[in-house]
Amino acid sequence: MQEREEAEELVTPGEVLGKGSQVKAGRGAYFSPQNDTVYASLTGRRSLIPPSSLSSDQRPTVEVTGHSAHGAIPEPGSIVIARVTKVMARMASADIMCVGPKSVREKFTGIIRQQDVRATEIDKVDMHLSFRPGDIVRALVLSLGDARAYFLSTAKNELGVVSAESTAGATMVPMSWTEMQCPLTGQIEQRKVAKVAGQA
Amino acid sequence: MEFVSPEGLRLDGRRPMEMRQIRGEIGAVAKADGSAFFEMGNTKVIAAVYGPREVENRSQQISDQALVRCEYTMANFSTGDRVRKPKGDRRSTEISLVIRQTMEACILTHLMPRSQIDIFVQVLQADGGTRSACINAATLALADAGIPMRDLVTSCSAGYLNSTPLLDLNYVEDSAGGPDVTVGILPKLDKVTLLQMDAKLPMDIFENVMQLAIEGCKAIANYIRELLLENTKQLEYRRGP
Amino acid sequence: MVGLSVGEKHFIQGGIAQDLRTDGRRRLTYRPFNVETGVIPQANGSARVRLGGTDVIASVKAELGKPSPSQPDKGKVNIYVDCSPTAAPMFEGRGGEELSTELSGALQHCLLGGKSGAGAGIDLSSLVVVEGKVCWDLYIDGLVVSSDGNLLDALGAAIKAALTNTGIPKVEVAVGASGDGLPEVDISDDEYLQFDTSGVPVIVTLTKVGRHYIVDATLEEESQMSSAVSVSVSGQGRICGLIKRGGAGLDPSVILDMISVAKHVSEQLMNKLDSEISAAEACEEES
Repeated sequence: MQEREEAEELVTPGEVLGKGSQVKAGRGAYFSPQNDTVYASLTGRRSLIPPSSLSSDQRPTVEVTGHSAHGAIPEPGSIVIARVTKVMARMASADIMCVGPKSVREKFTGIIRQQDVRATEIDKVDMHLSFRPGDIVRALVLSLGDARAYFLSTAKNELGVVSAESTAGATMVPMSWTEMQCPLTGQIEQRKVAKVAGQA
Repeated sequence: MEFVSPEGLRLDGRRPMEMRQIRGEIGAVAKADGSAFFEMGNTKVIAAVYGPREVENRSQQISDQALVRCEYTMANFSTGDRVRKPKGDRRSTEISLVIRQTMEACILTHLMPRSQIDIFVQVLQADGGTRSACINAATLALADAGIPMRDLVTSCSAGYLNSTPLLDLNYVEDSAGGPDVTVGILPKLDKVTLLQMDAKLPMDIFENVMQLAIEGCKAIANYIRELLLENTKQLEYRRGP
Repeated sequence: MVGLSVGEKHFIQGGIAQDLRTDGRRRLTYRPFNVETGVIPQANGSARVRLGGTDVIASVKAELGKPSPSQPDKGKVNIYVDCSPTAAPMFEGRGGEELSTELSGALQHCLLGGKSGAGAGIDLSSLVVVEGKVCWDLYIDGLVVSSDGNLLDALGAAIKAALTNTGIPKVEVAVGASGDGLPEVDISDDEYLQFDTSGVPVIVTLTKVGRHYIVDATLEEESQMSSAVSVSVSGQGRICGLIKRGGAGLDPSVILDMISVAKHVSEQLMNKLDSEISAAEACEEES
């Protein structure tokens, strides 16, 4: 805490940030147990984060914020925008395109399982009446899932299909939380529709 | 042949303890995640880093750390005599391995399990000390890519000709057949990560030559550090408040 | 690398249809480019051309050799291109060979003309030292350092700049050389011959996306192309070579139209390139 005033400082990898007994290593820093020292591992600005008053460990955390913007990475709890690629009887797979407002740079796949589509009557969900390939879905990341895909959930009012094309190729208009209509043919298709904020 | 004149000057006019002019540039390849250009006298190399990204070949995936790969290539026009070498000859493979091991030792690979980092170094012009120049360029490129590292790694070579320790050999001095010591260090942690020598040297002279090379590494480290800080400031300035 | 989404594809195609591309250019505008000469001091001539995110280096090395028996009055020129893995991880190992071969072949077509050497951008007979005995062999090496589309045009420009930068040492033939053995030659250290590169063509690639065609396509735009036509045009406005790539067929009338557009664009490109090269040469002399 005594280093607060010189917190704004540029560092390069290998620079000593403090003693292990005084600071904890956060992002962009690492702790070397041999000589009890915290070093920087990135180029960027160093900053000290005071410890939360609840934790027993009263050491501040030292972080180095790099400049290169890495692509966003989905984490449990984040809201993602994904495109449905495949619909199966028990689950649908989707490619994650955005995490929050940021687009991803690499391909991440997600899976929406049957029990995660909606909050009620979860065993009666028909996947084919909830999603179609190509739909744009807003979903919540439940967990890191297995080796191949994140587990996603649409079991909330504001989650589900936000944009879909009808068989005629037009963008459909939501009718209710289970139906969307094609403006060209008037055909009604079944979806798990998201209630987008600002929409009646 | 006389490599140091009676006045104490080398063939290219340097003093024995003098390094060639070094110059680095960050961001030479637009598409790469990190890249750098590094020049030591007439030796010019470009390094590009791709990753961390998903492992291409699943069988190579390591579950608790990142896979680091390196490829060293020489341009056809990089040497004095134009020779069209097939890719992947023994020398290139050996240098690729040296660079990979040196860089892997300083990257915090355990933070990026099941991912892959590719380091590509391309020699545009070779005039001795390509190994060192490649390592210095790779360090800059890795730092530019924002890959967490224990410390910067810098490298420099030194030799011993006409009973004089010489810093940073050029091609003519390198091919004279004398001992050539290439050292790579972690400057802040003060550790040697790479040490190569051919030919033989008495123990006490070796110590001197190695110490000289380490001094060279430290000078390069200072330059690289300044370059990185300057680059970060520039980026911050461009990004605005 | 992440493939393009449907939206991005539509955006690129729609932009081209409306004559406003994703980077704000019009269909027939080149990206700003920058020429640097003398980057490889060990070569006889070299140049680096940066065209947007594309970065290529060309070098020229001259060696004394023997002319081929079928053409005793002509020197030899070889063009090789290498794709460095720094440009894209897929060029690693042997991955870049296919593209390298394609580019080398295309450049040979565009700059060297046919087998007889007729229509070559470089005057091959100027490379002869002693007819039938000694001539200069030019090795032109291209290296792709960074790739963001339109490699062929960039390599063509770099080779032209490198040739302008090239100095071939003046050669004195020792008098009284015997009739059949190789004549003795004396290579001068300080006298250099410059090439006349006004005849070296520039290459303009027109990439067809949808119903329109564009010049200087980026990597993203190239992924959307149906076919591409590369035209090499000499300073006098003559067509020196023509290559069509890509799967889709083209109507002959479209090809003729494309050639005339390419010819028009090449004039601007040639002027721009010439001024960039002379600026780079002046800059190099100063330093």
